[in-house]
Amino acid sequence: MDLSKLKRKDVIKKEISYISLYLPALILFLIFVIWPLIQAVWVSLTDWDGISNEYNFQGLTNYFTFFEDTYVLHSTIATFKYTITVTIVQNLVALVLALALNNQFRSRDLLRTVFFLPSLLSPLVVGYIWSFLFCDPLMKFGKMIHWDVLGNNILGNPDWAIFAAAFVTVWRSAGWTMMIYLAGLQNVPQELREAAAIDGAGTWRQLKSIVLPLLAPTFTINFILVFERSLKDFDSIFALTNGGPGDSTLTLALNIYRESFFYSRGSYGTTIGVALFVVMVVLTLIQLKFFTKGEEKIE
Amino acid sequence: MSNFHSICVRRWKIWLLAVIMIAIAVVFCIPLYSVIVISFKTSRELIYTPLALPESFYLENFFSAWEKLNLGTVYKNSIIVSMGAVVFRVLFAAMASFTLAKHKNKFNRFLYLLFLSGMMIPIYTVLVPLLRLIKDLGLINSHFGLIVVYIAMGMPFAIFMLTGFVKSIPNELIEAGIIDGCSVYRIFWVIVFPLIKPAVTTLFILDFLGVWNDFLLPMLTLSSNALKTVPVAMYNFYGEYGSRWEMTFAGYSLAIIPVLIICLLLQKNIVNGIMVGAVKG
Repeated sequence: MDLSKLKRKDVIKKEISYISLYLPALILFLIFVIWPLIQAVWVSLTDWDGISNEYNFQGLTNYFTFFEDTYVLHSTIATFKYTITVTIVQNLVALVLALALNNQFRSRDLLRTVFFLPSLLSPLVVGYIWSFLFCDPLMKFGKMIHWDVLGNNILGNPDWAIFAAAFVTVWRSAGWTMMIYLAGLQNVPQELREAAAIDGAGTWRQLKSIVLPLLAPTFTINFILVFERSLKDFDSIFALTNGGPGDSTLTLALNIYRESFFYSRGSYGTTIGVALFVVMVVLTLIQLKFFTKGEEKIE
Repeated sequence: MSNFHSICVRRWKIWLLAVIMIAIAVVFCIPLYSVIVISFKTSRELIYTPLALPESFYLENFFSAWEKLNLGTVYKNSIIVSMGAVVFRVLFAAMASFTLAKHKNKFNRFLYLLFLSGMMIPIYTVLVPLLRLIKDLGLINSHFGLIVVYIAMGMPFAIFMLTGFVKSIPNELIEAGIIDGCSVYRIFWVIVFPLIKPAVTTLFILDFLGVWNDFLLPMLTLSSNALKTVPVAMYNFYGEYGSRWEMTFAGYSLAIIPVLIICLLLQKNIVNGIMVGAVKG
């Protein structure tokens, strides 16, 4: 741009216009996202209940409690089980669906829509629907096939409830992941597969040697997306079990909610929240490393 | 001859695949089917034949669910909150992304990263201080307060997505506007905004559904019955009538149906949005 022709006043005017364009976004973002985050760190260093006007600074006490708290340990384990299960199963299911629905046949588009629909529904309502299904039709089904875990309402079983919750999430959001895989499959050139077919490679061989390697970037993206998403899930588990039975499905998100608003330990709930934030930062850094590496390769 | 044979085998395989996939889809749909079917049942029918087709076209559940949920008001609340939040979020994000993408300097680059870093913050981390802040600002128990928070919370992703699109607009177009003596605002509104409209539409739909379905924040901030949004109403409904499945399910059907309609009408846009989110996320 040739700025020399513009008068200095115009330059300033233009600069102000540019600034004013991002000002509304920036002000709201600073007030309602960044400021609460700074406060969260401060709150975690106090004994504030979250409601009253009084609190005392107590240093790292909450963090010491955090590392000795069995609830935190339990909820970390529950979160881990849930997140890992969802990430792996959802990616597998979505990949298989995408590979199947990447073939040409008449009902294909309809089927894609069908699998995709639940991912737009309210996770809370989906949770309520499944809590009925688990406690009535699926119980009868479980008795029929003599699988006691399902026959005695799986949501009441401390060992299995978290996997039932993971299953519901996979049912709800596999279609979402499937759509991303389908987009990734568009990058697999048909000629390559045809050439392989002429050379005598069967469907399985084509998958293994051509399709899946080319799908690797999509797989990485989906893996990270699903992991981050399920790490922050709340609504669905809240509706299904609300953390129970015992604390077997008390994930970190539920634990934070419970400490902050149920037991009125706002500062402690926030401490767990800060820990969750740290996990997110680490994940993002890993992600950044992955992606910048990928881009370098492409360049 | 063998070529003909292999085509036949291939056709047959595809046909088999289609049949298997349809069978899977049928099983997959059982939950949605059961919600709708149960909504049409009397409580007696529900006990004896929970998943069979209803004997008659029994609408009483819908009427009582609508009335007990006060669904007219609840829909209206959800529309106000989702619309308010998403219209301004997308508009502010589009404005900001113009500066961030096309007026590059050190400070703007820093701002862009600052916005992006917001994507890492889980809502649970800031929940307690945020609620206190909303209370102190006198915005508790109001749609306005909720809308303002939603605008801010969704800003990182919105800016991230739209900045990517604004970047792809050729600089010549913008320079042409400058040479013609257009103001910055005019360039944004007449040149940039129309060009990113597809992205704006997509973001709008995705974010609308996101806010529509959001539960935790409205549950914690809206205490008055007259202000409740759909998910909060469903939560209260479940708490009160949870054991009367036929009626709660009629309520869920009524909650789900608008989303299903939006989805079927705008599926192309939604799917595009997911792709963009994934590729750039």
